[in-house]
Amino acid sequence: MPPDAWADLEQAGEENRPIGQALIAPTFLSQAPPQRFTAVIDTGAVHSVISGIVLQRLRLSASAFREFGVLGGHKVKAGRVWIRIGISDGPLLEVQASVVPHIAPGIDVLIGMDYSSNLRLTVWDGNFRVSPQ
Amino acid sequence: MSDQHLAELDPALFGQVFRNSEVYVAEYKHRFDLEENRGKAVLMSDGQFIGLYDSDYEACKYGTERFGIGGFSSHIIREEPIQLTPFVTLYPAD
Repeated sequence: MPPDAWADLEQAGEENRPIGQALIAPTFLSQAPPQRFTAVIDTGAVHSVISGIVLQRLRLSASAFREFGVLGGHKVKAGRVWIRIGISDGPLLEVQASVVPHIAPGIDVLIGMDYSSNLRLTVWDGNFRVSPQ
Repeated sequence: MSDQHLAELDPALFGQVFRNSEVYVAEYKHRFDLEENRGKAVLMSDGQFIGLYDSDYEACKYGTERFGIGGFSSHIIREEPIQLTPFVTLYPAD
């Protein structure tokens, strides 16, 4: 895979976040083509989260649910689903993502370390580069 | 993240999850809630017990192949909470 395949992740977003395009596909429907969504890499998140829009566009349903608890406050039900995530032309890796109504304006996918730990992520001066290990 | 309930946004996104969860907790959880089953997953469809699988992945793979998207649910036994970030914890639902 050429290094420039990851070029769209080299620019940080307005808040210095690594924002780019992610390809998302159902895990167990191999014929379903991946679709492109705006994603942010979050090195502080142990696993990945997608918005309800992603589930709708992929025509998927949650297979289970969890409850989100924020700072000991009330809990919120969230879906859980197996998906394949890829960044740019990178490999599609299977992860079990949580599903919430919204992540942030303009962001459909939060890529956690369940995906990123399989890659090499370099951060310098507000720039980000992702490359295969 | 929004505190809007996903089921309120679009109940179809959850398929049979909530209905099956009620049946699982009421009728099946006590049978499988054993240390030797930790991490395994119970597959449910239309309120019926389908099988016990070694992992959630295996349960969902079989569920998708046999029942299709939205036609099943998976219930992980003795699942541990996940610390998603320092401020957000994911708790098992069943």
